[in-house]
Amino acid sequence: MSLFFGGEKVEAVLFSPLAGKITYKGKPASGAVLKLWIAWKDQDGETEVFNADEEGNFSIPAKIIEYKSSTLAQISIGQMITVEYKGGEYTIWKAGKSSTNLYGELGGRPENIVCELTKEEMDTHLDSALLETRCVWTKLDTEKD
Amino acid sequence: MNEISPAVASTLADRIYAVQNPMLVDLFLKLPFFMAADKSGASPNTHLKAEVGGRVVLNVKDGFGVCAYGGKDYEDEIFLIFRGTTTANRKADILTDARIGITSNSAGLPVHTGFHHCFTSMLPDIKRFFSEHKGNIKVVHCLGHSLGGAVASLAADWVARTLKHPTKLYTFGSPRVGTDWFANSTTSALRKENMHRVYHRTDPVPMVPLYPFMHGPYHGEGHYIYSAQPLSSGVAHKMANYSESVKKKTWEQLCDVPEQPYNIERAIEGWLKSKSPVDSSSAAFWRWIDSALIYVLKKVAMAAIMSLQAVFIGAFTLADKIAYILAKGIDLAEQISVWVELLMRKIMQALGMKVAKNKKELTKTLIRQVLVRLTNKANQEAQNALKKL
Repeated sequence: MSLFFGGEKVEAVLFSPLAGKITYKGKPASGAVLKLWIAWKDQDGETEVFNADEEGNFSIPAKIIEYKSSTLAQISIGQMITVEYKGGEYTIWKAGKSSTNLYGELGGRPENIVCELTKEEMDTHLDSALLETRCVWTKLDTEKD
Repeated sequence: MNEISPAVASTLADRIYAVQNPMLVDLFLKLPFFMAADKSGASPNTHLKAEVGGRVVLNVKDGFGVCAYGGKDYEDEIFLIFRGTTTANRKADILTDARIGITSNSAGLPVHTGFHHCFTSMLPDIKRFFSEHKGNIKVVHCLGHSLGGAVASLAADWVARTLKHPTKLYTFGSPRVGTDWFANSTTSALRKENMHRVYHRTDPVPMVPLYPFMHGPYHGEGHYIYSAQPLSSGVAHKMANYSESVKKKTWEQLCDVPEQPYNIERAIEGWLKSKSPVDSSSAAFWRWIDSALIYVLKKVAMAAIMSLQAVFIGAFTLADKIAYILAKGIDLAEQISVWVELLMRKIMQALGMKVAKNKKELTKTLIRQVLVRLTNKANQEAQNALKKL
């Protein structure tokens, strides 16, 4: 029926997998609570909660959706991770991405991630998306899986 | 005058989509093209909000554009970057896209009502941005993709006319923003060499709205890029694919030649007379139909001594007006009416309608029906909202 705007179903990675360790003043932030907020189809977005283990290790799986692509609308994804630990709240990740591919946030898979809650400045990564984070990693694996 | 490269223009038009919420504007402004924030953390750059969508119907507000000072490679240069429709506000934007009436802009030129409304809602912020700027301005770069390109075109026209700064316009897959007279006048205001309109052959968006909407630069083909994806997929419209097409190219290298001389009268007459089947899902059909419509309307207007501009401005819908002109053409002498007849037959055939056997069957009502169906077909995305037209 539709001539121009078929709107095929396509896959979009709203959030690429992220696993690492949360530390507080260098020590594992045992039992820290991570809140991942993702917005793409509206401004409000949705929040999911993840828990770090006793060693401060956390693992957030990929968030992949299928959506009906429209010719006129480009995808625009907002991401934020806040961590609650010992009564404090820390933003460790805020990002905007307009690509739908896996690891589109950084252009690769970060390895050995450590997120220090008391790190003063956020690091900015602008090569692939718009990302600011308190997490650091030892290397970025850019090989295609 | 300084010009940004296709790669930089496409990067900015693409990256603005990553600004999903106002919180991310700061990060966008950290891109190396812009002036860094001072030590207090206050960025001199401004984020614009546009009212996207009908004021009454949806009243959705969304961060929509950024005014920014150029960084060290772009000293004394200003960037106005506009975002197109996103997945978060698509409902609102479709309404904007669909509001294709014609309004006079501040310079008295006929432009698209929806795009104009979108631009004027941002204008107070743009004015404030310029009024707070103390330094010298060498050039203002206006850019955007899709609806963002349409808004950038209106912004560029406004900057060049009102502020009289040297202005450059860069658009990717932009729809048409104004009529013939706007396209002509904005080309004089900006000058043709400062207008970079990039479009893929099979991107459906630059094909709408149909005549009397036209693209600037006037009498220019723009930066036409060959693409093979079918119109129906909409793939050729994606900003990521524009970025891919233009990377590592200069503006001079970005000009494939459109295959057919749609604007040569003899070719249009040949197409109208030909008996070969027409296919409304091909990009070529829409280029032909647009040229043919212009050709026939002008022929009728000339014979009937009508001013097209006078006819198009006013309260009636476009389909009504075009139907009025064409119906008049049917009553004119054979050498005019034959073209109206051929044009209507061509459109009816492409739409899969029963083709009128003779001139008598082509009443104003039928012509109007055919035009409405043609327009609906061209603006499928706008769907029901367009029935008003």
